[in-house]
Amino acid sequence: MEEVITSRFSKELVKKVDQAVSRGHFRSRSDALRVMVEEYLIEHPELFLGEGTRELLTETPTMSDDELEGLGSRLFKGLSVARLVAEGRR
Amino acid sequence: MRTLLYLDTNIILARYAPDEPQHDEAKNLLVKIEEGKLAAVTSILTLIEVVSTTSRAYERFKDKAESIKREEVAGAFLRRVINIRNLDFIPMGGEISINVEEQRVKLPALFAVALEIGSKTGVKTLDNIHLAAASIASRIYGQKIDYFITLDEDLLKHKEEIKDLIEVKVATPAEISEMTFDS
Repeated sequence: MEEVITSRFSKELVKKVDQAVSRGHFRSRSDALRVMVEEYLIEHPELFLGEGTRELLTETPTMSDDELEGLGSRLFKGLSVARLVAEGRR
Repeated sequence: MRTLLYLDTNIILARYAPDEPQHDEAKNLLVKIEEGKLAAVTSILTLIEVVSTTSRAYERFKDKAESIKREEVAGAFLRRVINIRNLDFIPMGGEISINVEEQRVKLPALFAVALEIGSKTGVKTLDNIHLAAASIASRIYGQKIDYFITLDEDLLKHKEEIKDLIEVKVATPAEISEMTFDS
């Protein structure tokens, strides 16, 4: 299913697209623009990502160093953080 | 010029783990960094390791009488690490194209350097990424990293090899705690 969209471009940009078409890189203006949009979206996954990280940061409490050290003392009790980090690298 | 350190993930976590043998030294180091007496960098990989390490530690911790959720634990540490003053994060960098005959692979600059380092050392894959970040940091800052601070036994075992390869001395917090730094 395809959809036709209308968009405005500067003359300079259209000229560049037409040059790329005339040199055989694309079949048509439409093909050129489709490929360019597709490639841009592939190269910029960040456009669709990041929400989870933002949620993780906004929905978690801000803790002081003392509070984090208290949490760390329980979280890492009997564990070596150096070893835990190293295990994660295996 | 301030002494520039590369901090491994285990140093940052050791600062919040009182049972860790070099907790006090790691804590003192982080205090000096936040006070601006030392400058420090780390890789963005550190952020992922902080989250995954605290999350794995939570596996053992979850049965205890705590109301805090796993995501809250990981998020709280992540939030604090991002907020450490005078600690910069080395990004992945732009992409570098590698062509082999007909095939082309695009790699972030950090991975390209890690690939190069990995071919010359016997260290683990993710350790290579930290070493690559330290190597890139020297180029970004125009100042060599003075010390790569770690508690990783494998990296410490390869310290001479690493020094030859990326021209950075590998040390533990305890080893540098007695040194006087220029400020």
